[in-house]
Amino acid sequence: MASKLSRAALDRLGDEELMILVDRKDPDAFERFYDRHSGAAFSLAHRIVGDRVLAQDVIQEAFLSVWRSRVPYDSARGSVRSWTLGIIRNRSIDALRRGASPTRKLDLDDDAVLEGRPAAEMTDSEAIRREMAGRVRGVLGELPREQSQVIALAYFGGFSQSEIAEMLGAPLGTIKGRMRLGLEKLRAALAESMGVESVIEALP
Amino acid sequence: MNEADPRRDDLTAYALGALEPGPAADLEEHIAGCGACREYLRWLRPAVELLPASVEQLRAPPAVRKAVLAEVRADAARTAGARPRLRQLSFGGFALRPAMALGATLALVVAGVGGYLLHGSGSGIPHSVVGARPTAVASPGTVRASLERVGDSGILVVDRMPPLPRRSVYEVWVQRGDMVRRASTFVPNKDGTANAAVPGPLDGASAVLVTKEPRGGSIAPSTVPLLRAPLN
Repeated sequence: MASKLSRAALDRLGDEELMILVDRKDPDAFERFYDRHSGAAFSLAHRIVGDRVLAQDVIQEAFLSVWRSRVPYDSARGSVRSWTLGIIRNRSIDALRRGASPTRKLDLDDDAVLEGRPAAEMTDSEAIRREMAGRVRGVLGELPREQSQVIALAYFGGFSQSEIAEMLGAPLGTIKGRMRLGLEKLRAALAESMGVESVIEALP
Repeated sequence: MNEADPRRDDLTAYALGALEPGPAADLEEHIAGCGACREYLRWLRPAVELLPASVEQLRAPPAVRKAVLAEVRADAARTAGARPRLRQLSFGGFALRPAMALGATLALVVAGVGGYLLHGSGSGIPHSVVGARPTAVASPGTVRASLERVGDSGILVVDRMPPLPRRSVYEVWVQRGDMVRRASTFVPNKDGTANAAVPGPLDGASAVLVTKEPRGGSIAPSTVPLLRAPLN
């Protein structure tokens, strides 16, 4: 269906309203959807696969899968941003498991790899994303190292509890406990120091 | 849930995608019937959702945008020509009579028939607004709505819309004579506001309607319209 909504009109629609048009195969609405989320998607894919070219392949395939999917977005599964990033994470992990990447990132201490590639001229949306990233990293940095490490290995590395236990040479029960304590602390800290609901709403 | 409940460990791993497939399937079966576990997962979710926001933020390469959008445009061009389906206007067997409208919880009729021109220059796209208000026969409501026409399409802007029951949506229709075409669905925000897309063409259409429908929308209106915005 060719879009009959003007560019300005599409810009005014919220993410969920936009997805209704995307589900109806409106290319202009999809373009807006892409522009709103591709930066965060590429950032996450790059963080997981650790390779710029592979991250490009991941987001290209992921966004086209959304466009061609017959399963519409369902708001019960979270915000459009969270839903999109969930797809990106799964595809990034799949790419890692296929052995498509020569590098696999293992912890949270590798941001230096990315520092050399700042966006040349940041848009407002990019600036907000960067500021938010710094704030969330600050909260993550408050966690004991062994807890943030297992969370990162699970979420960004795509490793299971058993794999992490084997990798770190620790009992499975210890890994389970670290993961739970870390995520519970993170949840409580976010709510206390940042106002987690407002942070999520502020994500551009 | 008790703080010592060992399921918390598994639920945390599950939320992070770190539970092996077998235990994950068993846990999903348990979660389906356990409100405490569902609540714990709901509580954890914001922490998991914020993890991707912690990574260094980059800009997606323009070449990817170009490649993705080229494929999307090509797909759209291939399916162009498939005209939207028109349905006979019947509202699930209801005729649009005042008596039926009285039976509905709310009925609105747009009053500003002619609308007014906001501006016609700038982008060169004609832009006008049709206002709406509840009628005397309807339950007294505080809903406010307007249809902003932008070129040959529009945005339905509503305020103070009644909250929907679970598994329901409001669906927007474009009426042309005695036929209707699906336009979009929407769920109002908590404060009752919403912007709903009304993709064109609207030229030659007689009205834009809003009905309450089951989640996912209906292929034809199944209830009496709550809102009607006449276009001519």
